[in-house]
Amino acid sequence: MIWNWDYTWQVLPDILRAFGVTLQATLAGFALAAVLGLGWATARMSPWRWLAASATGIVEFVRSTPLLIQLYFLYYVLPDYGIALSPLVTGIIALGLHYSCYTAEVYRAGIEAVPQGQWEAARALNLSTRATWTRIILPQAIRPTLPMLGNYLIAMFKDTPLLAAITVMEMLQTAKLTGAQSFRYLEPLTITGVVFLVVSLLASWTVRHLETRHAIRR
Amino acid sequence: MPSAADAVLEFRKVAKRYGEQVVLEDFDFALDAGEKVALIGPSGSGKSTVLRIAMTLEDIQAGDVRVHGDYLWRDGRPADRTATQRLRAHLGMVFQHFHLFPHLSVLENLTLAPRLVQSVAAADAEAAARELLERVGLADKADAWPEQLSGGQKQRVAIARALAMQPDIMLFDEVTSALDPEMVGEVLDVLRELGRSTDMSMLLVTHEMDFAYQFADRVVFMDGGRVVEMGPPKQLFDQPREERTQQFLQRVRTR
Repeated sequence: MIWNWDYTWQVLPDILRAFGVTLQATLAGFALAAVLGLGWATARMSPWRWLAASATGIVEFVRSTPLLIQLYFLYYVLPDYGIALSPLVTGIIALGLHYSCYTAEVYRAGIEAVPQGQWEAARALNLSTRATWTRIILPQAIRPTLPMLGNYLIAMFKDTPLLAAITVMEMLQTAKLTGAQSFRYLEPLTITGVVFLVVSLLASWTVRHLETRHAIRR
Repeated sequence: MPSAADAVLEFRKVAKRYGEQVVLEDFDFALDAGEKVALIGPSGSGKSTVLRIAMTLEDIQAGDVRVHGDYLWRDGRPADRTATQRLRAHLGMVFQHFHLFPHLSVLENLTLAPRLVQSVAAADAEAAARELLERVGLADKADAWPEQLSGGQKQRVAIARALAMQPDIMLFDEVTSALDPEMVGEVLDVLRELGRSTDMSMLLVTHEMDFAYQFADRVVFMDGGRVVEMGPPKQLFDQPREERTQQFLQRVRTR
C-alpha cells in the first residue's frame, strides 16, 4: 500500500474538524477534573471524618477501575435510571471524573507542601476557614502543581480516543469511519496519529517551559 | 478569684500534654492591662506553648484561659467559634519564623486581614498599613515581596501585620531567635518603641536577657511547664530566690 496524497487531502478536513471535538472533550473534561479534584482534595482534609472518608473512598474506587468501563457504565447504565446525556457530554463527565481523582492527589501534595506556619499566621489574624483556604493556602498550593496538572492534561488528551467506544465523533472515530467507507485506513489513521503527536509535543514543551519558569521564581 | 480585676489574659490551672509528655501543668499566670511581661526559661519549659494556647493554636487538657474576663478555654474545653473569634480579635501574635504570606506583597500582607475580617475599606486599610510600615521603618518596602526582605525586615513587617488588626494584647514568640545577630537590634528597637508609645499589653517569650531586663515590667521564669518564680526584672535577675532560677541565669550569662 502506497501513501495516496489525493486521498490525504480529501480526508484531512473531516479529521481536522473532528479534532475540534477532541479538543472540546479535553478542555471541558479537564476543567471538570481541575475543579472536582480540588473538591476531593479539600474534602479529604476535612475535620468531618465521614466527609473525608467518603472522598477517599470515591477517589480510590475511580482510580482503581478502568476509564473504559466507567465510560460504558455512564453511557449504557445511566439511561436506565432516566439520565440520558449526549455521547460527548457523557464522555466529558467520564474523563473529568476519572482525572479528578489524579488531580486530587496533585492538589493534596501541593496543599501539604504549604508550611504549617501559614495556617497559624492565618489563624492569628483571625481569618475565617474559608478565607484561609482561598486567600492563603490554595494560592500557594496550586502554583507549584501547575506542571503536574499540565502533564495530566496531556494524558487526558491522549485518552480521548476512548470516547470512540461510546460513538463520540472525535478524531479516531472519524478516521475509522472514513477508512471504512473507502477501505483505506493508512492515511486517516496516520493523520490522526500525527495530530496527536504534534499537539502532545507542543503541550509537553509548554509544560517544561512552565516548570523551568517556576523553578526560577523560587 | 485570686486574679487582679484588670487582668487582660489569665491562665488558671492550665494543663497541656502531648500524649505522655507534660508541657504545662497547673499553669497559673495573669497579664495585667498595659503590662509588659517577659517569659524566660530553658527550652522545653513550655514558654512558647503559653502563647500558642492564648492564640488557640494549641488545645489544652484542663484549666481555664480568659481574655478580658471571658472564657477562651473553660475546664479544658474551647469556647464556641463565635466567642473564640471575638476573643481572638484582642490578640496579635508575632512568630519566630515570621510566617509572612509569600504570595502577597508587603502591603497586601498588612491589608488582607483588616479587609476580610474587619471589613475595612481597601483605601482605609492601605492608609493604615502605610502608616504602620512607616512606624516600623519600612515605608519604602510597601510594594516589595517578602522574599526580597532581610530577616529583620521580615520580622518588622510581621509585627506591622499583627498591629494592623489593632489588638490590645500582643504575643511575641522568640521574635529575634531566627535572626542574624546584626538584625536583632532593629527588631528590639521596634518593640521598645511599641512599649513606649502604646498601652498595649505585651507578653513575650525571649532569650534576650538584657532586653528583658530593660524592657519588661515583670519577668516570669518557667521550668518544667510551671512558673518557678516571677517578679520585677531587677529582683528576678539580681536576687533570684529559687535555686532553679539561679542555675538558669548562671548558665545563660556565662554563654
